[in-house]
Amino acid sequence: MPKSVLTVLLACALVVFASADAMAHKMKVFAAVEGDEIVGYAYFSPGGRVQRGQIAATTKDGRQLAAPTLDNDGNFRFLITERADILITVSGGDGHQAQTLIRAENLPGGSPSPAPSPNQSETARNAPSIANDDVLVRTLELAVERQIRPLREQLDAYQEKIWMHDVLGGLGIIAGIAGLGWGLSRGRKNPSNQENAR
Amino acid sequence: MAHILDGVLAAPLLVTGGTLGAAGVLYGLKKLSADRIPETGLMAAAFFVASLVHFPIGPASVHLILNGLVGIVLGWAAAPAILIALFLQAILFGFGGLTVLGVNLVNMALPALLCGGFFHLAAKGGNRRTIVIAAGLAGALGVLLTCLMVVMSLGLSGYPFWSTMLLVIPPHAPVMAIEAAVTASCVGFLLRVKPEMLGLEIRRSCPNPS
Repeated sequence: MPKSVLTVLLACALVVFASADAMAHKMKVFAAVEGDEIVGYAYFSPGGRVQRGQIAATTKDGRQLAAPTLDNDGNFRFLITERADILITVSGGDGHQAQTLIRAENLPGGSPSPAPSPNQSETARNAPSIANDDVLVRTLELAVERQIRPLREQLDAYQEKIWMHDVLGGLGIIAGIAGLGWGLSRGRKNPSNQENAR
Repeated sequence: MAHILDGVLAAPLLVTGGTLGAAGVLYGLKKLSADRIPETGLMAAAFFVASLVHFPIGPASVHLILNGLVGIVLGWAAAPAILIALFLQAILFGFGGLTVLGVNLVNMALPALLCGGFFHLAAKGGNRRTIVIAAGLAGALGVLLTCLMVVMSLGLSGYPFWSTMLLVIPPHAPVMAIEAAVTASCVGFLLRVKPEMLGLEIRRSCPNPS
C-alpha cells in the first residue's frame, strides 16, 4: 500500500483519538430514592440530558406503577406507592432505551411497630421516644441518600464510559482477524503454486 | 440512533434479520478474494471507529455510519466487515444489542451494498468529477437508507411509523452531509493513489507521463 495512503490513515486515526470526547453515546437513566419519591434523570453517556422521551415505572412483572414525564432537563419524579422492586424504563422513541432497577430493600420501609405494652402509662411514656426515633431514622436516611447520590451518579456514568483501551482492543481484533484470514488463505494457495512450479 | 438495542424489536423480525444477515455474510465471504482481505479489515476498522464519533443534534444524538464508503470499496465483502465491527461494538461498548445483531447488520450492510452498486453504475466510464460526485451521493444515500430501514424495523415492532420517521431522519441530515463530503473526498483520494481499490477503470484526460 502506498505510503501516502498509510499517512492519511494514520492522520485520521490521530484525529479520532484526539476527539475522544466525541465518542459514541448510550441513553442512560439514573434514579434514586428521596424521601417518599423516586427522583431521577435520563441522559446520554457521554452527552447531555434527554429532553424527549417516555418513562414508565413498573413492577418486575410489568404492572404499571407510574408514568411521569420528563422536563426539559431530563428530570422526573414520582411517588412511591408500593414497596416492591421498581423497574424504570426510559424510551427515546427512536430506538434509544434505558432501564434501571430500584430494589425494594432500598425503598423507605415502614417504621418498626412498637411492642404491645400492657401498662397504659408505660405506653404513653414510650410513645414520644419511639416517635422521635422514627423521625430521626427517616431524617438520617434522607441525609445519607443525599450524600451518596453524587457517588452513585458518578458510578452510573462511569459504567458506560468508552475506554480508549476498548477501542484499541477492537481495532487490534479486526487487524488480527484480517491478518489471520489473509495468512491462512495464502497458505492454502502456496502448495498448489509450488506444484505448478516444479 | 442507527444501532438498535436488545429488547426493542419483535422476535420474528430478529429471526428474519439474523437469517438475512447470515446469508449476506456467507455470500460476502465466498466472494472475498485473499488479496482483498487487508482492505476489508481496513474498512471494518474505519466503520468500527466511525460509529463512535457522535454529534448532539438538538434533543437527539447521532453518529457517523460510513456504510456508503464501505459498500463502494468492498462490495459484497461489506457484509462480513460490518458484521465484525458491529459485533465488537456490541460486546466492547454495549453499542447495539447482540440479539439484534442480524437486524442491525442488514440495516447497515444492505444500504452499503446498494450504494456500492449505485456508485459503480453512476461512475462507470465517467471522468474524475462524475466519480467524486457519485461517491458523495452514495455516501449520503447510505445514511438515508439505513435510517429508513431502522424506521421500518421499529415500525414493524410497534413503534408509530410517522413519528419515528420524524425522530430518526431529520437529525441525520447533518450526518448525510458530512458523509457525502467524507465519502467524496476519500474516493477522490483513492482515485489518485490507488484506483484499483475502487475497482474502476479511469478515463485519463491526458496521456500517462510514465
